[in-house]
Amino acid sequence: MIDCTIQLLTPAVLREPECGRELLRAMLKHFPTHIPQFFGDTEPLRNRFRLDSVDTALGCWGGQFFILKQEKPKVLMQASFASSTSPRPRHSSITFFDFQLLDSSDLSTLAAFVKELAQTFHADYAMAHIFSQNELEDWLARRLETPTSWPAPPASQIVDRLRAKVSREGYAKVLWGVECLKLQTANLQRCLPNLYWLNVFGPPYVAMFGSKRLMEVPAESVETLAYGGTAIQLTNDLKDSKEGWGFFQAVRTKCRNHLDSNAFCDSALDRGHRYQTPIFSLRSGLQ
Amino acid sequence: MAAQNASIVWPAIFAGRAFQSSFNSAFNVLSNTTKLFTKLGNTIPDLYKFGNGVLELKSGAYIANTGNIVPELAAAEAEGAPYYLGVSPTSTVSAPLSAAVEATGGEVFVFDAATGTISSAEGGEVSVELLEFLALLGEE
Repeated sequence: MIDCTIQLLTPAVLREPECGRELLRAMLKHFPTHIPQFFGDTEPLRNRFRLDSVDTALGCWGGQFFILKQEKPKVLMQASFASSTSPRPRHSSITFFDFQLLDSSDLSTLAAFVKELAQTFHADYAMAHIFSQNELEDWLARRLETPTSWPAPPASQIVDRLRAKVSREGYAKVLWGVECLKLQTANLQRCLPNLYWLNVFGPPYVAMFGSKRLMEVPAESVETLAYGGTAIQLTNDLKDSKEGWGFFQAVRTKCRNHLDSNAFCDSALDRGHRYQTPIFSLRSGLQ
Repeated sequence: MAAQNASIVWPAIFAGRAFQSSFNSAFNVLSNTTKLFTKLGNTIPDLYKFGNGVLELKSGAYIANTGNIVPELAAAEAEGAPYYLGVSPTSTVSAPLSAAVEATGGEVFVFDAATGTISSAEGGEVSVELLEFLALLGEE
């Protein structure tokens, strides 16, 4: 099994049940084995999902959250619906915290699935990433070398706590937290956390980077999507080995440098540093 | 049966109160008494200042988007305020809840009552905004 994650941010409000139907249709078209078992709008999920009564499940769609879960292969998805009246506008989001693939032959299907979702929901930003234990080990080693200051505990205590968390919750959940949790509007308005295995930059990012620069990024593949987004797949796959992780990192660094290093978050810079950021239109969604 | 349930629930309530009391002492803040009214229910978050932040402390083993967290997240979103969730070093927070908290511009953080320290649940340092929110509450 390969553990993956998907994140999609859209200016669309997404509250219409038709949006939920489109999401399920796309998922089951690309991954017919990923049939959810449970659904709900809060946790714990108590409602059994049945393919012959999708309308019942979509009755929960459009409130604050909509969550789907399956055990094997593991799927845990949450749609989060932005309030159109909040003083702090944000994107609506579709997050697959965990999306397991049987093997690497499913990676091209994963890329097609994410591109279709980005196209359907006119995503400002979408990504998919393949989790690797080597990536987590690399992150923990860097964390250990980064000094902390009060009120934080010493770095060694933080790393010990995260290792205990890996034992309790699995490495994929911890890696998702350190690498992907920040992919939310408030953080993207500050800087872009990183590049991932697959990145879809919607029109605001295309305007920021420029389509020529995006098309020339030295990645495995670059594709323009019909709605105006650009999909960049960094490597063919991401093997969970030192070599596989090293190769991915090298490609990622080249691509980041090509795009514009001032768009990506850098912990070495002052917190007040002004990065290059896109201009999101968050009140003019699809609905 | 009721007595059995009580023997399970009361230690958890006392542990929760002790956790909150340690946090309040460490950061020199007073518990909130303002009740928030939302479509999803009414709630009194542990710490609160209108428009600046909503903060809840939980010391349980597994914390998910349920109970009083549901209306608190709704209140934070309606006010455009960040939602902060403080948990113990051994708590597990569900991924849907972590993402929901982060989407408000807030964060899940770990409070170690034994040392009085806080850090981001994901291993970084907590945000300047959280420290400023705590300082603001400490001034009251």
